[in-house]
Amino acid sequence: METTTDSLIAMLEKHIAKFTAPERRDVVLTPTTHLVDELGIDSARMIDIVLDVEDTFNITMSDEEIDSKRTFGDLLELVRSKIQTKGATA
Amino acid sequence: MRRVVITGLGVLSPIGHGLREFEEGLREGRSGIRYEPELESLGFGCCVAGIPCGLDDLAAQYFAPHVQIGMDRYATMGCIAGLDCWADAGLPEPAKDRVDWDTSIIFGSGIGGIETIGKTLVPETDKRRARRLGSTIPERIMGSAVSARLAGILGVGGQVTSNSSACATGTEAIANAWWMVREGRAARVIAGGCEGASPYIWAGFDAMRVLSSRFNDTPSRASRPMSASAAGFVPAGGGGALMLEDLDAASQRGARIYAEIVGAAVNCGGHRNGGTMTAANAEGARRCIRGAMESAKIRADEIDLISGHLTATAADPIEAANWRAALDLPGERFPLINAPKSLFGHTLGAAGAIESVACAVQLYRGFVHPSINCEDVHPELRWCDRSIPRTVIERDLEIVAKASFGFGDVNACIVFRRWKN
Repeated sequence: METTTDSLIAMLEKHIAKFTAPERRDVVLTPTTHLVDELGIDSARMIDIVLDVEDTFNITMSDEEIDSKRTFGDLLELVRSKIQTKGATA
Repeated sequence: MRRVVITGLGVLSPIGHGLREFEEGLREGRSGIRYEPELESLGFGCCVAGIPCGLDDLAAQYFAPHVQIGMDRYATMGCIAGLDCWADAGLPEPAKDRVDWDTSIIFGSGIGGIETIGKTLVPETDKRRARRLGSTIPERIMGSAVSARLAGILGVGGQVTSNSSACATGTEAIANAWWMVREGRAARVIAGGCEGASPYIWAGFDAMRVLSSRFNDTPSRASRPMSASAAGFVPAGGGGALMLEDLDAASQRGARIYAEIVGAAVNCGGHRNGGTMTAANAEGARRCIRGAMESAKIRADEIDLISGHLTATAADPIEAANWRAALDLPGERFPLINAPKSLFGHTLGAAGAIESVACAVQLYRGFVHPSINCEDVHPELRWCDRSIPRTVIERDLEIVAKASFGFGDVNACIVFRRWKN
């Protein structure tokens, strides 16, 4: 599946919104948006977001790769690199 | 010891959601039992049940999606009742940045989150997909799911716990809450019980052949406590919640008072003298009833209404005999006795709570709901036939006794008194 940056961002936003309190959904996601501090996504809900993203893009992200991700930009870059790696090895 | 009053009620039941609908259902003698095709498709003998209507839409009104994903339906039902109870008590919207240290929660269930266990946890784990379950399983299935969720929404900071004593769960929660407020350990306690509505909850009872399976074509006639043609209980789900509050605290904030709880007792028959995992030791049941009366400091002849456990099984005549022995009153002076399960079935862990809400409503509003499907009274209950209301009775009540007798030979009894300002 070819994914543009915009469509990738839109899909990630949708997955994150599913696990975000309504009052936090007004937060505009930028590369520096902090997942915990600004979106209230704790480590447990991060697991749910990762599973959804893995299923959507047919990629795998390890616990170690996820542990260090703090911002929306961090997550975006990881997912983008996984998709590109999958495309390169396909 | 502090006096304990009821300042809020919440109910989600097969005969209605909310106090207005619930009271209407009680007064009308409305049956909340319906044919459930899913049960027939699964090969159940009992294909009728009492399931609150429109739960999915209701849940969406109460809980944002990111909260619902962490809730089994049993906790959804309990939390709806609990939140309604809080609002009905006239308490303010919980502050997001403050903990209410003066309030506690005792809110239990008999079976709990088995729907999540059956539909998600077990199948995915058996397919070696445990790592794909996501993060929400523990909070959905843990025994304290409902009390913990309610505490989080309301910011409650006293003791937060879920009790479990089978069909006595709801009544026991109220008894424990009563002692807690009486002893000054909390200004108020949300006491309640809830149970889901899932074939996984009910399959075991169907396997025991204790469910009503002869009225699948006439669901409204299926739940028949005290009837000669009673054929087992009708399974049901729902949630009931009562706000038990210190009278001083209630008075200070000008709370409306539904009733006072003046006595309670909880015990077990020890599985001796005829008691087993599924049958009551008569002496245990009688001691429980008498214990509640003694703690309430009332005489037997002061009881106006008994809200029975009365499930429409072979235990009904035994229960009635236990009440008769405990009260030691001649037949003509035996109080009125009704069976709420005739209307909405057996909600298991929710039963004591939903039925106690019914007790409070009857006391507050001055009526006795009918016990339906008892036109053919059981031969062993002819002695109390005149005590069973078949239509609603408009009457001010002073004292109502509610008891629940659960698997495990566990008993709980509460005594309510009409509140007079």
